[in-house]
Amino acid sequence: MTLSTNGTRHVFTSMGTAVSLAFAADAPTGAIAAVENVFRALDNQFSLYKPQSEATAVAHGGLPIAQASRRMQDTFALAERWRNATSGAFTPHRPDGSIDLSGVVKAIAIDEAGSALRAHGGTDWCLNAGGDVLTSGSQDGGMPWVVGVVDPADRGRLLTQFACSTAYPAVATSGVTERGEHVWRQDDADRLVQVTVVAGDIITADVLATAILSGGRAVLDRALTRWPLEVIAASTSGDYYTTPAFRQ
Amino acid sequence: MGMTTSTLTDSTPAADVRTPAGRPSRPSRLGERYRVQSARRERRHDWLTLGGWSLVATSVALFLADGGITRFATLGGAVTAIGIITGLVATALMCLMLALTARVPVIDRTLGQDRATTLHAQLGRGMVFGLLAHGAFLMAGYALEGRITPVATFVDLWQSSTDFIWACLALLMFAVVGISSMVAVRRRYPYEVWFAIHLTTYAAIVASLPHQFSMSGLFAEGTLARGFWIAMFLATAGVILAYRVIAPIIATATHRLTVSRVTPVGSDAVSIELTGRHLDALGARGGHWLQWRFLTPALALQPHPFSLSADPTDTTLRITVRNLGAGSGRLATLRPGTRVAVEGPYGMFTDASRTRERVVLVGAGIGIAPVRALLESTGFAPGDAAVILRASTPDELYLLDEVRALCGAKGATLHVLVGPRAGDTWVPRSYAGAHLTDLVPWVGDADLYVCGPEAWMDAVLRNADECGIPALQIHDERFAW
Amino acid sequence: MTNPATATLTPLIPKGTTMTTRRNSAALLASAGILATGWGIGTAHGKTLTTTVPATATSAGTTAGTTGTTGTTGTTGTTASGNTSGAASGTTAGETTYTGTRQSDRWGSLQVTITVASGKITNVTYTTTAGDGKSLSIEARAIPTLKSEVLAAQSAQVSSVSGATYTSTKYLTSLQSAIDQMA
Repeated sequence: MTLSTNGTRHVFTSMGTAVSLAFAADAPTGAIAAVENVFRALDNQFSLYKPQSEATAVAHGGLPIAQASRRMQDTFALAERWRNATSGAFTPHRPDGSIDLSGVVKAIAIDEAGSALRAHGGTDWCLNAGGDVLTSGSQDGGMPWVVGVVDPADRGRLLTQFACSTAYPAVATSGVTERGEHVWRQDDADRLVQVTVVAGDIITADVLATAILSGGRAVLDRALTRWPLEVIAASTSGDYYTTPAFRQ
Repeated sequence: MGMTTSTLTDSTPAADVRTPAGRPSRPSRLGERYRVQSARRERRHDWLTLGGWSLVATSVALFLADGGITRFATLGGAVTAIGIITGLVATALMCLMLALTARVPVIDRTLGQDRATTLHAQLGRGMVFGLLAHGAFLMAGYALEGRITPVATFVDLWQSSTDFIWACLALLMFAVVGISSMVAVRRRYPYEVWFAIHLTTYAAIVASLPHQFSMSGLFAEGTLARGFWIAMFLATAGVILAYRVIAPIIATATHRLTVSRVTPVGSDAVSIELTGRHLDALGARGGHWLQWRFLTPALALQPHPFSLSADPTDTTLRITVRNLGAGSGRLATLRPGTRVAVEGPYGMFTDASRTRERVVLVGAGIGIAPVRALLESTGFAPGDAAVILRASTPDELYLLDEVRALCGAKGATLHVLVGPRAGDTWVPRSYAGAHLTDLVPWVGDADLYVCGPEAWMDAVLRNADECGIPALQIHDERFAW
Repeated sequence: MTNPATATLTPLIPKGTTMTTRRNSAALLASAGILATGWGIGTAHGKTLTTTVPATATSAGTTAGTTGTTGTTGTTGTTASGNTSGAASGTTAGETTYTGTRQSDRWGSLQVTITVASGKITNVTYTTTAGDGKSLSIEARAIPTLKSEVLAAQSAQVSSVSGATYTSTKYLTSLQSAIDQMA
């Protein structure tokens, strides 16, 4: 459902959240529709809130992954690969044993929407789905797309910001207020309550933000040695863990 | 074909009267010396046993001292912990095994090298199973902790570390060595092949070293545990180098043994006399065995364990060998002047294992050779020794005349039992049902030395057990290992 | 009876005498004592050790492994900075470098080096060995930062806001919606 639109900004709802699509200039023909289609199709297939979705059938209806659609299997395989890569800090498995792919599906949707935008000739755009942002090109006037990061203590304020680039076009944030359960695996007193990851693609940024929030500083340190990232993480003590991009 | 049975009993010197179960009226100095010697050997055995167990216990204690017990709070942690512990124990066992085959003098003088080698083989089973458990439990434990599959764990490790790849290779090699050493497998191919496979153990050990230090929190840099582990490996390597490489080279160079005479004995054996220098420094005595390498093109690669068949003099050694198998058969054609490389002397089939004044020596076939040597070199008062020789045919009573002469000279009773065996007992048919005590009533109060073919020795030892001879007094030497 | 062919390639070890039993019991007892000592040392040291670094930051110590179990981070010394092997080695004037002890786990070992100037952490470097002896140096990674040192946001420049996922209802009162309305 469209929430608002003008020539360069379009907001619609999908996957239970709001998707904001901004263009530097007027939207290319068909681009907005294409993006909406991507989100709608994935939502129909993967939403656990739709009783007729394939994901519901897999999670609660006894449909084995092996008999599910190719798309479902590929998505599951992707989630498993990320589980291995993060040694379990990110996992599609809920504590009760059921499978929840929603963590990765939103990122996949953003990623595919990005491809669709490029296919329709869009070169300068900023796509924000429920707080995860993917950018391309630059704003009107040549300035880079600047993504603000919400202050975990006050959602009406910004904590910091990041100027996106070709190398770092994707920003994802994971926090305790997020829908869904997290498996808390940290045993520090100094837990992370919000993690923002900037990466080369939105799926990496989204998965690692979740993994670091779940696994704590140990996962943060490991992740930084394995992927090129910029990170700002807020801990319960009120301190932050930052890479250079987020410091004065 | 006539089966002859003969019993030769030399008369005991008239001056020495003993009742069958008699004891000397007062403890002799010889007896005292032997009792002290035996007590010392038992103490050494105590310390070696303590040392061995302590090494294994310390390996696990290192893990506990690192807080390892906290891992048992979760299932995944517990499985991982078992994986770690089995790895530590297997490695400690491996170092013990290496020490046991290193021919360390104190181990040889306590256990006897043949027992040490047997223990080595027994520990080997435990070690290989321990290594397999180490791998399996760690994969399972990491998988449980990381909530990924064991296969994914394996792939993750394989891709992130070359040390891990080497460790997997090492495990595979250990498994191959283990399988090749199983009795059922081993008898299918020649000794040389088995030996070559066994040598790859060294390569496997080297391949397994890096991952122990680079993939373990326990042996991280700066920890005391790391120092201990390194010291353990260095000590093991040092001991192997010292006693299996350097000592034999020094012995060969110092003593310059050469074949001096080859004499036929009986119908199918030869006595080989060797001369050398500084043989008193060699420390060999009657009953000892050495590893002989005759340095001819055909024989240089075949080491032979042969016992001395006479007490060494300052300049000569003698072995008496039966022509069995391709290797031994060539020994009859040895020429005087052939250089010989030696390792040893080894074994506790000597005067050094005596525990009391009286002694009974039992030899069969070519096993008579070390018996004859021991008869010459060990101490006893007239009447305190008995010799029993056993053979299927008179041809196999090697060195009988020498034995008879020594018995007469030293005052030992001689029994000769010839003829086909009665069932699977140790006696010929004409003696069916006889026990050691029937021939030597006081054998329970004597050191009993037994040497001969495997199956026959088992029969003698069974009988010794039936006669109630205490285990500490029983000494046997085997060569099939 | 026993087939000679399979009869022992091993000598019949004489059955246990009282001496053997005594010897083995003594060895077992000693082993139990050694194990108990190890256990005692382990529980006495407790779990993770952290030390405070001068000025603002907390230790960068707990970097071993990604699981919650802390077995390996116990007594192998997860002390960072201040009191460690190598301690302080001065670099440029006014700066000191502290090298933490090496953390090891199955992915190799990780060592943290912290540079402190005027009581503030200015740089953190990791050196890792990926389990095969190769060392990689990764410069300037995530370090503890006070809020006042975090890069400030300038709302005028911001075109999108990243935060924890909001529902479409929550969106309506979010910063993102404010920006979307303004554009």
